[in-house]
Amino acid sequence: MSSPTPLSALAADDLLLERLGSRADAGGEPVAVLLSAFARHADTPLAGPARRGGRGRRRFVTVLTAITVVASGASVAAAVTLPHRTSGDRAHHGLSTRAAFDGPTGATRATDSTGATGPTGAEGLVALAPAAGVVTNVVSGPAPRPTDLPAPAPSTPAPAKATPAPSTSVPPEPREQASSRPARAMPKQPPAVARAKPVQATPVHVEPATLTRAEVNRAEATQVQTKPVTMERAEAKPAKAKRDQVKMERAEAKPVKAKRDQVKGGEQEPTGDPATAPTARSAGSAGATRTAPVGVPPRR
Amino acid sequence: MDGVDSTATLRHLAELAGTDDHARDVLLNRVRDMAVRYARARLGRFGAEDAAQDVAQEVCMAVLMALPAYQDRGLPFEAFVYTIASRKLADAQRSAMRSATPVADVPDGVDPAHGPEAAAVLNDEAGLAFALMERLPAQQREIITLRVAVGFSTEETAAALGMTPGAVRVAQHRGLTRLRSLLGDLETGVVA
Repeated sequence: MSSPTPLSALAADDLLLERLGSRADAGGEPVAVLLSAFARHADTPLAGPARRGGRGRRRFVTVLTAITVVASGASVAAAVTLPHRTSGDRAHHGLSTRAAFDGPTGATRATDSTGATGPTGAEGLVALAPAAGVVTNVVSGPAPRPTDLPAPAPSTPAPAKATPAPSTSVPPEPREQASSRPARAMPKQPPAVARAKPVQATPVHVEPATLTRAEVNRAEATQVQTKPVTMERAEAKPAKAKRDQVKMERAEAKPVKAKRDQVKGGEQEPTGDPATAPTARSAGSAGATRTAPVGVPPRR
Repeated sequence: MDGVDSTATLRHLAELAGTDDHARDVLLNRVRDMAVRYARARLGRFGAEDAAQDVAQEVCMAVLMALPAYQDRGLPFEAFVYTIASRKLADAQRSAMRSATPVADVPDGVDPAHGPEAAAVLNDEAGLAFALMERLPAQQREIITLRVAVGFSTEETAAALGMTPGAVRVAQHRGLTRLRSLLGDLETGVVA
């Protein structure tokens, strides 16, 4: 229950509100001051939103600023500006370094054909022929000098398992180290060795003791035709290099067929794989020295 | 036209509005002032002046359309205007909440409003008044609004709200007492 309100208080408040409603002076009481501000607020126009013209001007300035920025190309420059050393640069550098290093890759190790190893600085394509057991580097670098290239020695077959060059002692570095290291820091072989290594002649093993003179001559002629592919030829005519590769494979297959025919004919046949037979030949002349294969008594 | 007094009541002006154009104009001017003040008081400090003006215009149109059918039943005409204004204001608030308020392109001119400092003080005091009046019951807040902002008398307020003058006096006294209490708490730091 609320206590009864005195009439004097009711009359005083009624008089106060009458003064406030008539915009007269209501005194210094806090409530009177507060309600006076409320009355002035009702008499004062409200603060409306901003004018449309001002908004239009602001919009115009904004559009003009955007057009200026787009026309100046600052945003495009900021978008395409790359740092000095980015991941893309590092990746490109790593690829270049690995391309210059022609050491045995996974493929060459799998086929056990490590013909050319070591960093040569030559950039190019490595053609792998597992059937022939030979790795041919089709070098796209500068053409080698004739003195650097090995003389065509068909009678000097290269071993099927080439002894790793001294440069192979340099193991392939991990990718991170190789990519982070500059290309100039990579050890390089002398140019002569580096250029002579990739060009490998396909070994053609001919058993002179079991072949006739005509066959030997034919084999020599074939050997002459299958001279090594020089870098110039490989660079100029890759299709021709491929044809030479096919010829080399055919020339390698011919002695085996000749041996098979000789075995059928009851003649003295060689034993052992011509590729693995320890045929000793003189380094200079082709077919000048005939050595009997192992396990077969020499003819007397 | 000549018989219209500036101190005439709205009821008298409404009776003459059907035959006297000047009485009708004076009536509409006073109705418009009442409606604008009431709209400003109800819209608060965040309301737009255009909304208040639109409400006043709508009230004037409604009063003008209702004048031919108006019948004096002994109640103040201010109560009739208040009923129309409160409903128009409610419609305006609903519309403002649903969509943006269109603004006319006002030409540049002399701003009769208060200066920055005065506007800041006024807004601060008015904001405090609105904040404290929000704590009052709806009936007490409406009575104080009509009496202070619109300038209604006790009888007019009672007629507008459908109350007796004594009930209005008691309600306004309780409202003022509550405001004094809130102000006292504000000075002591109880009310944020």
